Amino acid sequence: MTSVQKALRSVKRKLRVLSLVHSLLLGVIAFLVVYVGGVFFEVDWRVPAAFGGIAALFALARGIKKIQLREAEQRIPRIEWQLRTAEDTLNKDNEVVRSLHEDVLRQVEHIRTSSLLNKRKLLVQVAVACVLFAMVFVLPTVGFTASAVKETTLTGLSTLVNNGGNFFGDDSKDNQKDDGRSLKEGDIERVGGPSADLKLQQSTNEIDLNKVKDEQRLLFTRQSQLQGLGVSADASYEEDISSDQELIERYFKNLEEPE
Amino acid sequence: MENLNAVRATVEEFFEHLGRVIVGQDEMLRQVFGAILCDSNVLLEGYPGLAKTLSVHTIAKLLDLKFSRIQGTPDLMPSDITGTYVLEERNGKRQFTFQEGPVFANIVLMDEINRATPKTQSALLEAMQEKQVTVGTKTFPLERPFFVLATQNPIEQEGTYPLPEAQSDRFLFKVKAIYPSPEQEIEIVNRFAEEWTHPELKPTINKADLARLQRLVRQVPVANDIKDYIVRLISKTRHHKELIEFGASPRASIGLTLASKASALMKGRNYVTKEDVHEMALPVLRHRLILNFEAERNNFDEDAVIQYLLK
Repeated sequence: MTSVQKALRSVKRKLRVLSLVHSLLLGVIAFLVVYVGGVFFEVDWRVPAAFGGIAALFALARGIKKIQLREAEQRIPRIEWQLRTAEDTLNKDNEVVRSLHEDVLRQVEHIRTSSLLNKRKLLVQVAVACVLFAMVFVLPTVGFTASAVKETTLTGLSTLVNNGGNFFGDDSKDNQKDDGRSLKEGDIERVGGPSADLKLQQSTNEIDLNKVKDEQRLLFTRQSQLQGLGVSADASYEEDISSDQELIERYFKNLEEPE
Repeated sequence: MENLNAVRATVEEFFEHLGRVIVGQDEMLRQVFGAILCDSNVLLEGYPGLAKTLSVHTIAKLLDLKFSRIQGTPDLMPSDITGTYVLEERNGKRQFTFQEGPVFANIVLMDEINRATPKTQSALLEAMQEKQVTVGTKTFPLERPFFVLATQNPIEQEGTYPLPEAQSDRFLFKVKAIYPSPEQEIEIVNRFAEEWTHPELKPTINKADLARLQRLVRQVPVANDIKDYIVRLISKTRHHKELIEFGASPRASIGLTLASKASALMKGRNYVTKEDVHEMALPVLRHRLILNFEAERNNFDEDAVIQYLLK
């Protein structure tokens, strides 16, 4: 075997070692993915281990089969086309080919395994593995266990079924939450009578326009500028309330009517 | 590698000397020299007044080669190129002696080859291909190196005999001479419209060195991937029927490989890259493709089609 052949084989050997590293990492990732996924189904640890092993072997077999000097040239652009040309002309002997083989020998001496590493691919694999590894430890800590997930899922499903589709809550009085942001009937009487010239407070988060359907909870200024109601501080104030104007007017009419 | 560095230095010195006489036309000169290194011939297309004759004459001087010029005209006979037997009287005896024609030189410039008749064109083409001349029953070998630079005028096509594709295929390159840039033209005016002493040109590469360079070009190795790429590129020209009526022949594959090797050697490299192939694809292929009506309708010329195939 010529020295050039030996040099080219050493490069391929280094590529195979790196392929092994990547394959092992891929196996670890496959193991962790199946392990994390298997938490829901209480799968035995041997199943993800088997998956990981198979994935690693498959990646290794494919990686070794695909090993070409082109990969080394892609990592080290200054030797592009030289390694492949030298490999394809091992059986030739002339002045130019000899000079190429000498150059390749000199270049290969300085090629370290680390310079052939696909750093980006390695970084991505390590990052994914770390995230999955963290999930394995963090999820149980926050109560994300298989039984907890099961219970939550089943509870959610039963709520869904029992409420008959009222997914977004009921707007009826009975279900109204007292969040302190809405004025109730008593509040309106306390503030003033129907003739009160009530001014809208700037901190009118207390008025929840989304609850307009119940007119007794509303409190507006009784000026004719109702059309230009510009409340702020709540995103719902951005809504177009012209459709509710009728309700508002009806409310004030009710207030004016003698009881 | 030291040898190849020396080769690159020699080539650079050659072009530096050439630049003392010729202004601009760098691409044309590189391609012409590349063809000489490939021991092949060039078809040069360009408008009048673009220093075609001056370039070739200067190259011949720098390479220490014998130069001759033939002007293509409709009445040019094959014997005007190859030479003929003439009756001579010597020592009281009359005998026929062969008078060598202008083709018996190292560098032959055939101006406006498309003005000569097909019969005359074929006489020159035989010399190009076989490196020999047949007159009557006798064959005369031509001295090596032998290089033909044939020119064509892209205008004034009336009364011409365009080279058939089978014949133009024998030229390695079709090189286009372009107009100089404004700065270059000012330099040309400064040199040739004013008092200017022609620099004394001494040969930078002798015959033996040139022969060695030609041998080195053939020795430059090519990776199998590059050969595969070249063959697939040539094959594309045969199967791309949307734009190309007739594609390039295997002679184009040989030519492109050889030209890429020459390009690599001129840059002092001992291996060929894809960039060398791309650089040489245009001059090698532009005269070997026959475009169809669709390409003409869309104003695609050969260069545009080749650029498209390279992508």
